Amino acid sequence: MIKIKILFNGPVRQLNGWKNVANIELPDGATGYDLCDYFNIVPKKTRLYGFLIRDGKKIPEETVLNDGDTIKVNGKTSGG
Amino acid sequence: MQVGRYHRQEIFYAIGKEGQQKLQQSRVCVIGIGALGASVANMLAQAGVGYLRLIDRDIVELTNLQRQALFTEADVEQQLPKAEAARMHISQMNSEIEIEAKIVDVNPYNIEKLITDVDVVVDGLDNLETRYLLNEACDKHKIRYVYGGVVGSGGMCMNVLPGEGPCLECLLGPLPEEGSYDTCDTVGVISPITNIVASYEAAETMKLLLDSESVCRQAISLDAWDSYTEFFDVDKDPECPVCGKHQYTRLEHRQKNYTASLCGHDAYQVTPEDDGAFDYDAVVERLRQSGEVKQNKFFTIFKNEEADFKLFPDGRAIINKVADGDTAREIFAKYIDQ
Ligand SMILES: [Zn+2]
Repeated sequence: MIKIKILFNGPVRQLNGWKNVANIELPDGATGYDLCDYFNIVPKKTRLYGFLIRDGKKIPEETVLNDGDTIKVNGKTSGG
Repeated sequence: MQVGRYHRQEIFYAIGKEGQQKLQQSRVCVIGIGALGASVANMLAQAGVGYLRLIDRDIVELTNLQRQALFTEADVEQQLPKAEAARMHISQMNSEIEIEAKIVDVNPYNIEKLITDVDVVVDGLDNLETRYLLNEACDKHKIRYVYGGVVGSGGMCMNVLPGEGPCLECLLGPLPEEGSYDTCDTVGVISPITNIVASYEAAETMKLLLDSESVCRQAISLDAWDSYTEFFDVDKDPECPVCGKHQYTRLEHRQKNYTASLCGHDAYQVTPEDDGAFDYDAVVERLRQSGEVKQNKFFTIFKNEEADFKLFPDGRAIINKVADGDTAREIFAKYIDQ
């Protein structure tokens, strides 16, 4: 298993019970899709969800995650 | 000796007198004059940007005053359109620049005309659908576009530089057709984040106008409540329908009486096809036979037992107190588009 820290930016945190931090464990070889699945996010379908950031870069959901990663979950920022 | 209005900018190392002249010769369009747009427009006017086109379809409301710094209680009482109220207040601060207020709904019919004669377009919009439309129009015409968005305490900002970097769709991905997303209307928004994002947008606009080497090539994600700011890289997606394949589905999707809900209202706006046939004065005269009509120079208010709406000279109407878009469409067809 790998340990991942998740930070939710903005209202997308409601997918995590309005908390902005989560520490989760995923199987070895897990990808961004598995992370999304953990929070019932379906990329391209869940409107609240935008994308993932790791180490200062937007990453595609097929990216394999590493033990100790911090992943930021960004929403689609819609207001003005 | 009295120094000029822009002295503090002219002695700033990255602008100088030459840069100041360039700003004064520049043209910027701000789309959406809410919390972000009004604040950006104000800063660009302070900076002396020579021409500002301010576009918004809405009227100033009491709930706007919590975060939209330009507007006053008097604007609410007079039901002034935001674009016009902003033009009025900004021109009192800087009468040396040209400011054009456009009280229109930005849609596939008019967007290209609204943005193709400016140097930079700034995003002050309150919904993603129009942003995605703007993204397509800017890519098609190779116009630089500064994206900014806020909701709750969070915000994002990114320069969209056609031909050079990723576009809005590369950043946010496709917009799902079904369901709803959070808006300022559903989860709220706080004033500090709107001012932070607006400040980034204004600074990036100035840098773009000056062709500065400091133009930000990353996206910015912020949260004012969590004390979080992150600059991050976004790759241009070669498969992106907009900047990769130059397919403009929203821009080409023109349908009669398309309906959009408003941010902050229990109202729907109905926008007819722009075929040049709309005769505002004739419609207003006809409305007088069906109910109470009040007019000012920006719009007409119509009320009877069945309908309550504002009709604008560009042919669109905001239908109040309706539960859904279909009802709004029916009222529009019965009273306006006969
Ligand atoms: Zn793109």
